[in-house]
Amino acid sequence: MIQRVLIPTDFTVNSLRIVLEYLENSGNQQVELVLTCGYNLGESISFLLGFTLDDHLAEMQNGDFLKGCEIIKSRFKDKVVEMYADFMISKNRRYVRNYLKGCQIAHIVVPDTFEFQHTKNSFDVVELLKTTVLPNMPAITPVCMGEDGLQTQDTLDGFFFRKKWRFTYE
Amino acid sequence: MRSYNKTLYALIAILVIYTVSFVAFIMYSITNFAFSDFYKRLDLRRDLAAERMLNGNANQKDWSLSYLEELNNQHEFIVEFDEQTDIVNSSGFNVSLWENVNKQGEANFKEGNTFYSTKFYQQEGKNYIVGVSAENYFYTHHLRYLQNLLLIALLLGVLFVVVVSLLVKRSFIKPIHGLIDEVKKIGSENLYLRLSEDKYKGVLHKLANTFNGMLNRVETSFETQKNFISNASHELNTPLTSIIGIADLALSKDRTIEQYKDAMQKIVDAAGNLEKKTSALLLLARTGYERNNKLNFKPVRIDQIIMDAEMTVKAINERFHIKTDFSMLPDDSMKLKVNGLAPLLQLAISNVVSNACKYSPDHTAYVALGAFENGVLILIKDEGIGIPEKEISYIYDPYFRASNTQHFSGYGIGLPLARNIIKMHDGELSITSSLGKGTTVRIELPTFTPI
Repeated sequence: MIQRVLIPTDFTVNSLRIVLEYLENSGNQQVELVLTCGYNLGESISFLLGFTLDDHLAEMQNGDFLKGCEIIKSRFKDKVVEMYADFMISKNRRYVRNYLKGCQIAHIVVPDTFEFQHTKNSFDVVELLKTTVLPNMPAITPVCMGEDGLQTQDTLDGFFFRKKWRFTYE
Repeated sequence: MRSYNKTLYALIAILVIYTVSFVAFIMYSITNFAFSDFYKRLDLRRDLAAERMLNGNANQKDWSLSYLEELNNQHEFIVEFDEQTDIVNSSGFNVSLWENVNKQGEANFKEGNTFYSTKFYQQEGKNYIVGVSAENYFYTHHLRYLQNLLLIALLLGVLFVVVVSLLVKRSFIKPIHGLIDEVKKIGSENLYLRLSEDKYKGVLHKLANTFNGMLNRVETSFETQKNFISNASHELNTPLTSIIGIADLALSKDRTIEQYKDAMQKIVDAAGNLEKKTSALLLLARTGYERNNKLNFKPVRIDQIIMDAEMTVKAINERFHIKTDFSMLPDDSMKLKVNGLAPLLQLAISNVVSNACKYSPDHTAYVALGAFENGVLILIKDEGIGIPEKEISYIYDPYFRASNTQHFSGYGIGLPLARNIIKMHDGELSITSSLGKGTTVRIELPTFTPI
């Protein structure tokens, strides 16, 4: 059975390393990845009415991030059935419960050390999911991000040459 | 442009003619209505006057006025005339108008602002013409006012049409003129210039985009042709130096047959390398002469090309190390196929890789490969001297060498050549660098899609 896995993201290429670490260290289970970012919609009625998920996602995801997702999908073609981004739009406990239940999330991936880049309206999903106690909470899967420093520039370089240059050919 | 003007003037003329005819039609209809309506009212008053004059009491004039208002300057008149239509008797009638009167029946006519309605009556063997005349207040005042109003509206309308048309024409023509001016600036000496696509919208944006695409192809072709001799010398220099070096070394003293064999083998390898480069350069020379600028591109596996390029680089200089990260290779090997010419791609990649090795203190280049949806991504990274930030925009210019490369041999030809080859394959080559820390060359090539 395909499992749906929630992975926190901040739409930077660096944050896709959490996905990579998870995929490389989990079994052969087929998964559907939901890259979730916390986003505070605010109280402006015009914003609430004008908000469309697709437009907003298109605005947040830059070319390199999308390419990074595509590279992961090509690399783990047999394992990753689907991969898409989504927003959690409230910190409310009931919303979190309904979101996880509605999306049928089986696992939540939480990185041990990762600093998310926060924008004006975003909030930390990892913190929220760690602190929220719910009955039937999906299993939390911690991933070790290793000791590699993150790229100062958010480019696709971060995908490669990780973990003390793990080479397959010389 | 002239025919464009003609069309515009024709359109203005049509609009003006339409407006004028519209105004004329309104004026005609309302005048017509005003006349016929007024004559009806005169006819009624004429009949009443005839009734009163011929059958009733001639002095009892005002009885009809209790029912009908008196018209402006209303006058009644009666004319008696004989068989020869000569006036016998008349009261209040201007005889000069006698010609206009119908002596057998009814007549309506107008003299100046005064309207007349007459009718022929016969009583006791005598012929009478009874008539009423009045001024049409509506015609003299309201219709004049309407006429003036319409004339002013017409003039303003025409002015508006002309001004708006000219403004529209200008707004249409202006961006085209801008485009023309930009295109005029581009010549063989500055083929790198591009039209600013963002300035234009709609179809002009598309035009600018297409033109830029064409310029990209022309520039690549032009530069490759222009720099062919330097490219050839640059590429042939290294294997030749290595052949001469090996031969010199072998001849410097007497050696065993094994040593000579070994040297000969090395020379054969270097010559083989030279031959490969010559064929790649010949392919390069053909750019621009092939139809559609596509040199019989074939699907080739990019991972194979990268490995071949690495072998070539290592063969040139044994101190060069290349570390490859193929951990992100896609599961589907079809995604690694690109449409292109293997010798050219190899030439490009080996140039970039050998640069990375050359400018690093540890002579090590890191090469990585991954595939996204429609293309492959090759990253070539080094931890070398980097490129000063100010000079990064010039590095694609042939013969340009960054200010911190004095201690390294080179001609500034390899990178522009590599970039042109990648551009020929509809790909992109970009560089990010930080001075003293290293440089990353990012190459993206579209994946081969079978038709």
